Amino acid sequence: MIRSLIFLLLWSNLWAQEEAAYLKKSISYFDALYYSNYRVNAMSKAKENRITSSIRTGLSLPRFYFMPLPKVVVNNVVAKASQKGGASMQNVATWMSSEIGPLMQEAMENQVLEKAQSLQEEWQEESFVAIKAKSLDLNAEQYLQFMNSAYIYIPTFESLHQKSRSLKGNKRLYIAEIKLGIVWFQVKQSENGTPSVVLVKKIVVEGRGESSSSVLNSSANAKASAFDNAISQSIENLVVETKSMDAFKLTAQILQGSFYSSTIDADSSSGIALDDIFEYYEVIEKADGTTKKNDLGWGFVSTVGKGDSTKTNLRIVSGAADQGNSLRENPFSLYSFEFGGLSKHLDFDPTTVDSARLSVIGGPFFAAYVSVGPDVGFNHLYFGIEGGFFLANARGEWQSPTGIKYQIENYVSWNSLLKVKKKFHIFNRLFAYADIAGGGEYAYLDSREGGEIRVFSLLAEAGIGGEFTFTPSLSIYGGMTISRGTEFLVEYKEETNLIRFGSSDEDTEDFVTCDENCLAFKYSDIGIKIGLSWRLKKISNNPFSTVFNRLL
Amino acid sequence: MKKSIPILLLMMQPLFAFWSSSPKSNIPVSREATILEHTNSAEVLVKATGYADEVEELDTDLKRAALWHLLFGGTDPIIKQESEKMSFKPHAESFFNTKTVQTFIPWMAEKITAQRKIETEEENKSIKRVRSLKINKNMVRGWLVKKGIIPDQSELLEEMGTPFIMVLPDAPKGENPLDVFATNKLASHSAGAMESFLTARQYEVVIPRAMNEIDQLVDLQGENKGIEEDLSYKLSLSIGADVYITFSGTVDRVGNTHKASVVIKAYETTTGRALGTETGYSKDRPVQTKQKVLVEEAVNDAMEKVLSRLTQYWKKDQEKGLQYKVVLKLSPEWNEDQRENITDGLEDILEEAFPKNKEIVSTDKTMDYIVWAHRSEYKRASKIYRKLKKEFGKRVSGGKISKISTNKKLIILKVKLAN
Repeated sequence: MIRSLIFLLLWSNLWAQEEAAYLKKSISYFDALYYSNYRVNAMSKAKENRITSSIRTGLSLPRFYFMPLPKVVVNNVVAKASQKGGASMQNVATWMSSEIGPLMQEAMENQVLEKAQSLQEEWQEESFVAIKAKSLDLNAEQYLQFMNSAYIYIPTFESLHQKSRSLKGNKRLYIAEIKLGIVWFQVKQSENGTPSVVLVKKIVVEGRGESSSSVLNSSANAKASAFDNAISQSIENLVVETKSMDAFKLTAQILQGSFYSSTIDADSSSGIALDDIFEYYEVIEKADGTTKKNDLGWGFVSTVGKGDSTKTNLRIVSGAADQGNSLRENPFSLYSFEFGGLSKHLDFDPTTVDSARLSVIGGPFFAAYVSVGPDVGFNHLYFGIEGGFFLANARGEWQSPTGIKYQIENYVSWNSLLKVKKKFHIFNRLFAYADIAGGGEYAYLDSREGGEIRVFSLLAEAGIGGEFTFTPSLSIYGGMTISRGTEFLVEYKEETNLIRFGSSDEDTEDFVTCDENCLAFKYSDIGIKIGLSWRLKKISNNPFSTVFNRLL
Repeated sequence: MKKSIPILLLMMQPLFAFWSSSPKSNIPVSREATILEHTNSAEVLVKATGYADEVEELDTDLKRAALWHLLFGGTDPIIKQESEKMSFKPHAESFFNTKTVQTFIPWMAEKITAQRKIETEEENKSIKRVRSLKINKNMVRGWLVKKGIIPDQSELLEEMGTPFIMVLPDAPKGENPLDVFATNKLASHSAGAMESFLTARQYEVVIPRAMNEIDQLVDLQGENKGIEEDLSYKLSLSIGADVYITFSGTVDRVGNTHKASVVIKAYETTTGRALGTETGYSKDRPVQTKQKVLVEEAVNDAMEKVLSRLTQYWKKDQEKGLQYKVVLKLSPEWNEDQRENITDGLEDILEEAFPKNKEIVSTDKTMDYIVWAHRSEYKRASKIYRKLKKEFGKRVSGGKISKISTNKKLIILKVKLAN
């Protein structure tokens, strides 16, 4: 009997709605900040507003409809929740059940015919009600599903730490570290129509922001920028965490599947973007009638349907997708990091150095990328910064403008490059990439005689290679680079016998700019690069902000 | 050489296997399907389940399952008679052939409702898929008619003529059903929906909008009681409808949803016999859905079922002949003996002239009969009148029949002295 009942339930569920169809959620929010720790000093109203408005903007995702709540009601709940001693979110949910639940229910009822279209099964668009009566064909089950798709969030403030430290050149670096959160509640409606509000999840994220003061940027501005950057970073994380919640994950179905690419039934209206990662799975029905999900693989969005004849395509990276498999989103942040080793051939210009030998240099590099593809309409397009540190056993004789001859002994260099990288999916887990980069490279050389040479070059680099992906976040890659450099500044000093990796003010005074008979590198050389790439779910510190605040 | 023979045989094994295996049957593995809606007079929306071992074969099986359901499943299958089932058997493989199946399906949902991999030992059942599709029922019927499996209904109906149907809201006896139209807008909408449904199936339909359309001659029946008090009956008779349909309905609220239910009853006009009663329901829909939409949905649901019964009745009844109500009013000048002679004479005439007749009422003043007349012999009521008049003149001396009034179903005559 029980078995038949389970079967019946499963069967009715099976017939209820197309699997993996995503229903846009209706979201209401509190335009007020809840202090999780009531002992924390309150921030200024301006800062609170900055936080709440940033969260609101950050969560304005196409997967949500936004429904404002009446101010009076919000104030009432906030007042209760902010009573001394703090209130548990469970209590807040109880208060909201009576004060906000009916309001949300009414708002949802008013919108059901307008917004519940995505709940309709495809056949319902072909039904008499839709075709002849030109009405939304929605049954009670779908109606209840829609009524249960309303959520409320309360922004919370956890902590804020602000500090500063001095940088060279009378500059000061301001740092803000903030912890923010949101608490998600769901408005539920029972079958007899009674509304209630239940606590779903609390998300807490961190963000760190930096900004340095300068002649052009006052301390106050820098401090405010650090605070803003910290908020921006924390909200980026908040968005990823929100997208990762089961209720808000975009879901879809494979309409046509193949080993290489699949068409899916989702488009830009729900917020699907290029490069979004989706995992696909099959549903297995066991002998007792229960079901389980079996993960099959994953892929990325290669084209986004616009709701017209264009379709959203998923490029299969792992496994092989079949028609009818379901998909769920696997959200990531826009940032990825790479680290590995680079070995390249570099030589001196023989007109400047006799019996030159500087063949192979090598060392580690580290790169940070932000995905810009979804914004510019190309798959797997990244903007990044890369820093490398290289060593070589250099040999050669260089004559300084003063006539002293130096037997070059050691070479050390580090560079900073801005990069644009494009990846191309070949098939399955294999990608190809091409990148171009430009930046600067410092090279230090010391000599047997005790003199030091410092060369700053402008560098252009291009690379191609292949990448093998293990998981949506981890891949290994390798390829070739070709670089072209031009010496921009050559300095030397003829006293010390030390190579310093960081130069102090006293050291630089010793260096003399070279205007003639300057050492020059031959830069048009090929290198080999091997590295690992790691895409992140969230990141508390924007790498670009960190680098630029220190370099510029 | 000896060594190579077993290897050769081994290599040829797949070839033998190919020869020995019988071709895969086209008969569907699945029998799971349900009719979602009769979208229009020709097309049906069906949700079907397909089973297969390969994903590519799922759609084929679910299409076949949907067709199987239309042919044999549900309360009103296309193939009903045992003889029809026997006739279908030799054609089953070609009917369920992939290409043939495709011709019956004008639309299939792009999205799959559900797909499951099944942990089972059964062959051809390791994956199942649920999907919606539309089937052109008329095309399916056409194929079956062409193969001689079922009779051609349209030809049959053309030969017999389609019934003339009147549609009215249900009202308590003695009350005017037309008043319902004035007070209940959903009732007139329902009547319109039924009219639309019936005309799409090429039935002749009439919805009387005013009582003055009742021919006063119906009241001339005089003393007859019972069903004659029913205004719907009187209207139907007056208009000359073969069948009349009455309906009633409600829109109920459950929680935040509305559901409409409509009861449709079909009656044979001449006898007032109930031919079929069905209740149609709309789906539970949000309260915001217009009630007219709900009502029309419920009407469509009920009409499909009632009409199936009605057609069955009509087909059967036509074999006996069309029904006419014949009312004879006797002049007061006849004495008892003469009245008996008239009754006997009339009964003889009816026995001889028509395949079937039935006495409803016989009093001193009125004689009320239903006669079944073949369309080939009596295309109109006036022909029946002429036949009765002619035969009556021959058989009953001193009397003659004159016409008070006739319409499509009702013939009211007066029996008087021949002077």
